[in-house]
Amino acid sequence: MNKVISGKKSKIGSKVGLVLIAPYLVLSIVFWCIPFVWSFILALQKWNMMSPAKFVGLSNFIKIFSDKLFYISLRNTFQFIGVFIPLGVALSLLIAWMIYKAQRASSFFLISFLLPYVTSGVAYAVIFSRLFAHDGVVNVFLRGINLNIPFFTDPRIAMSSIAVLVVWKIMGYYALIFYAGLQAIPQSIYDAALIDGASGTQTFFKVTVPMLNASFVTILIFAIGLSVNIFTEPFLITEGGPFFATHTFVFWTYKTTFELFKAGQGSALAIVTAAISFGLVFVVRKFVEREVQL
Amino acid sequence: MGKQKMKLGHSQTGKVIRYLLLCVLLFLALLWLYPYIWVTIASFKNETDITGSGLLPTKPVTLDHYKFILKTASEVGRTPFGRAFFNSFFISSVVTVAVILIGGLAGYSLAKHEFIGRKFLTNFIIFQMLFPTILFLVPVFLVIKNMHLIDTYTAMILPFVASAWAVFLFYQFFKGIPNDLIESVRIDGGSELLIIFRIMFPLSKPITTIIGMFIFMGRWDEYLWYIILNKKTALMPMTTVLAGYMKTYGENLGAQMAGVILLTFPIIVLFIIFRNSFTRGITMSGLKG
Repeated sequence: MNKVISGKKSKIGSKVGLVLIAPYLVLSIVFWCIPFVWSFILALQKWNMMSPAKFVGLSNFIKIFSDKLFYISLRNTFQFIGVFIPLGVALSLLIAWMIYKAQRASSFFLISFLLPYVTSGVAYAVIFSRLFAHDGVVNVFLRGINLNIPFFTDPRIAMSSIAVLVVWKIMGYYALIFYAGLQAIPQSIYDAALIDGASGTQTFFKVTVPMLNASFVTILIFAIGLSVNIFTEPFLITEGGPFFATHTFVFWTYKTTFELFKAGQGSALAIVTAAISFGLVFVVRKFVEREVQL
Repeated sequence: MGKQKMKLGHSQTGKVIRYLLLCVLLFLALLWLYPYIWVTIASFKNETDITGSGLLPTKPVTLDHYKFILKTASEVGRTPFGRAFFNSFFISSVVTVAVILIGGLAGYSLAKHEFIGRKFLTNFIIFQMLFPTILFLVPVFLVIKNMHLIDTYTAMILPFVASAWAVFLFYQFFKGIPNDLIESVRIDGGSELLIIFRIMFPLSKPITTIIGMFIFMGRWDEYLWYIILNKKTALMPMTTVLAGYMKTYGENLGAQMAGVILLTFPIIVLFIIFRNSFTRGITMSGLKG
């Protein structure tokens, strides 16, 4: 065999490799590296994007943490998480499990539940603001039992309503991850549990759930990212209201930067938002993630 | 057969449970699809029949809403959907093709070439994937503004064509392609471009489809970036136009419903055609949420 061929990687011109990756690198520098560094510099500045920027140290962050809106946004985000994560995870696990057990038409069901995922956030904001409106289909239906729920106009439940419709959108995606996880569990483990005389419920909670650890972690990390960064739905359906009940961090960042033209403050907010997201992911990794041994 | 019996204990009860599960699933699937059915029907209803209408369609079928958003809208100073549809399609397609080309070249370079900084660059791409979009909202807007590109197609295309996620997937896939194959082409005097377009891309169709599908869908459904980067009505993609109808045109429900159909229908068709790559893409995981 020729020596050149037998090398693990071809040594053909080290320049060629760089040329091939150059377009990606140039674009990354302009639209990733520069913005990345700039966002941290901006966060320390006061700037209206017109007159020269002024260095203000950490005062943008101090302003954020002493603003009532910070605690309101935090509370709203946790209200969202409190509804979205338990409901989304439980429902998607249940549906994945049912599809797995039914053993029939599994791809038809997986596809049906996935359909909402491909729908643009704007489109389903339009659909759901109608369906759940004061005089919408859901309330017409509820009238039968003498109920009328102001889904988006009652500040106590507006954020939870949004969480529920995001569950509708994303559930199929999570169910698919769980379904793949379920399929990866070897049958021999179930057989062993059966021989040991474990009941169905016992098997589910002592075998299935722990074996799905990787799926749980993946889904929780996705769900946290989504929850902290929620924007389109509160922006379009409730405009952050009523009474700031759906005011979120991305919403706040958008308003601050693009409506009040405070680029520094907006950048600081974006960093705070990312930090919250990282913090929560860290918590999940620490407390949920386990090594699963076969 | 014997295996199935083992799974559910008694095959008779197993069968009953299975049918019961199928019924529950069918009901839930219909519930999940119902909003689509409702909005499709609503888009053909008279304006007055949409509000508070029941679960089933009512008689007079009208195409007025579609006529309005596609034609008459411009007469009352609204952006017509025809142009917006083109804008969405144009932006999404250009980004998708560019992501595949740029990402494919970069992935190939990292997987099959040896050069100084290769390890560092591979780690850099993984590092890039850790950070959420929100961090880039303000500075990318400022970069685009400094380049005097606000209110152009370029503004809505250029920031999204370098996708670390795509490079990473290509990189991982290309690593699995045997070197002998590449070497044999090189010995025959084939150029690097020939290797990429005649071997790497054709062999990586599954991964290319997955990347293309997710990128196209992500661009088609994008909203936040577009309202930041473009304010010119003629260039607005459909999401922005539809959101505009919703916010400032709250009363015209029929137009909104017809707009929803135009926005979602193409992507649903694509999704159904490519459903297998799509589900494979999700189960492979590591995908953005």
